[in-house]
Amino acid sequence: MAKTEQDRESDSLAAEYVLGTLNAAERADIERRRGRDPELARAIAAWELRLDPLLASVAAVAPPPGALNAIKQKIGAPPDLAAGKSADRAEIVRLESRLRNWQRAAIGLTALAAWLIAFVAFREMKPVPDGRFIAILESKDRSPAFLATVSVAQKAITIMRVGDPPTGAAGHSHELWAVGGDRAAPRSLGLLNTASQIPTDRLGPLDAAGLGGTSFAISLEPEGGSPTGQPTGPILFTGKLMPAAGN
Amino acid sequence: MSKPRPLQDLAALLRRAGDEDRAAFDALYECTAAKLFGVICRICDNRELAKEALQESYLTIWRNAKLYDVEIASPIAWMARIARNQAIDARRRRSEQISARSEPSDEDVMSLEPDPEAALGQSEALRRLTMCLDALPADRRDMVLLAYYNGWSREELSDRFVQPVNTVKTILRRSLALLRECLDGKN
Repeated sequence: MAKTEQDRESDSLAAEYVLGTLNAAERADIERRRGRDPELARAIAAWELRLDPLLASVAAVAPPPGALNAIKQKIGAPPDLAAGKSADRAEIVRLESRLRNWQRAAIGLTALAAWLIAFVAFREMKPVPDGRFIAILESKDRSPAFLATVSVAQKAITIMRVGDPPTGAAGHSHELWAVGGDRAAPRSLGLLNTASQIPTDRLGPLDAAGLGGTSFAISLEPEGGSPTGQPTGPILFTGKLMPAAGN
Repeated sequence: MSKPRPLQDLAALLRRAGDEDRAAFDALYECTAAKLFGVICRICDNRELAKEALQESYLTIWRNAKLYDVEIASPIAWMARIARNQAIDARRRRSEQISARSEPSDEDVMSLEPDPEAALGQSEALRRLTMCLDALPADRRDMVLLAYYNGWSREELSDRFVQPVNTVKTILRRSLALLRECLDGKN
């Protein structure tokens, strides 16, 4: 079967396209042409069939949590429900959206945070002389950003980053606060970027009275911390303090 | 890792996704995302980039599910092609944006061998393809596999194999022609 020079060139290009070695411009060019060049389209299809078997030998990798939800969000809400007007329909839409929000929140946790939560005992705060408390600080969209650990024995709060770093605005500081419990107002615990370990002095007594009902919050403040002693900037992350398992 | 569903099942799910059946699409994702992410992660070494490519792949699958034709490819092959193309496009875009190629690591070459677990159930087609690849000189076989599995461009191959880009192009085309002869049978 005699092949013309053009056919050969077309086949070589298709082969390299499927192999993946072309640069971005060449790839875009091929993708434009395959729709109106049946010979090229046939050559691509033939090369795909020839090389497909290699894909069978690629090991699977667990997809990132939250990917499916992000895809579904881009696809958008089902049109039949979104267009519904009756009360029932509206209720279904509300429930669906609440469910989606809840799922997003649940799936938004990183593997680490999910793992940690699995080890957190959800029970009454008890005085624990040498125990540990943790708080997972999440952003408004419920993605975990920091893990705060309170070690009663070491009298120290350790802050560890678990998610993407907060977008640092130049000339600003992130300040950690204790809120709730029997505190009348948020109490500053210190700045995040100056020390990863913060003494527990300002947290108050490390027992049920001092820690019960306490949440941690991180606010964005002017460089050096809040000038007023109270949060002045937006609250970026919050998380409830809970006894860690093993207490 | 959950066992992949039988092919017919995937074809049915794809068809239903083509009719905008969201539950079918979810099920399709559950069955295939790990495989597609595996394909993508070999090509995009950056986790964020890989995640984006995965999302783009499934958006393309959702939009094009109607076009799937069981005569063209198995459902998983059709989807994996989409994922591979997304991953390669993302890799090219990034390398051209930062106009600096990351130094290819040795790990890339070491991970060229097919996944042993998957190779256990290796198809007749894969056996034949492997045989034809093994008939190439070792460095040319590696070039083809680095390109296919890991998405390396001619330029990246040129760095690794210390050959001018045009020579790499010639070598690749010759290797592919030999591969084609071996697979299709000589005319």
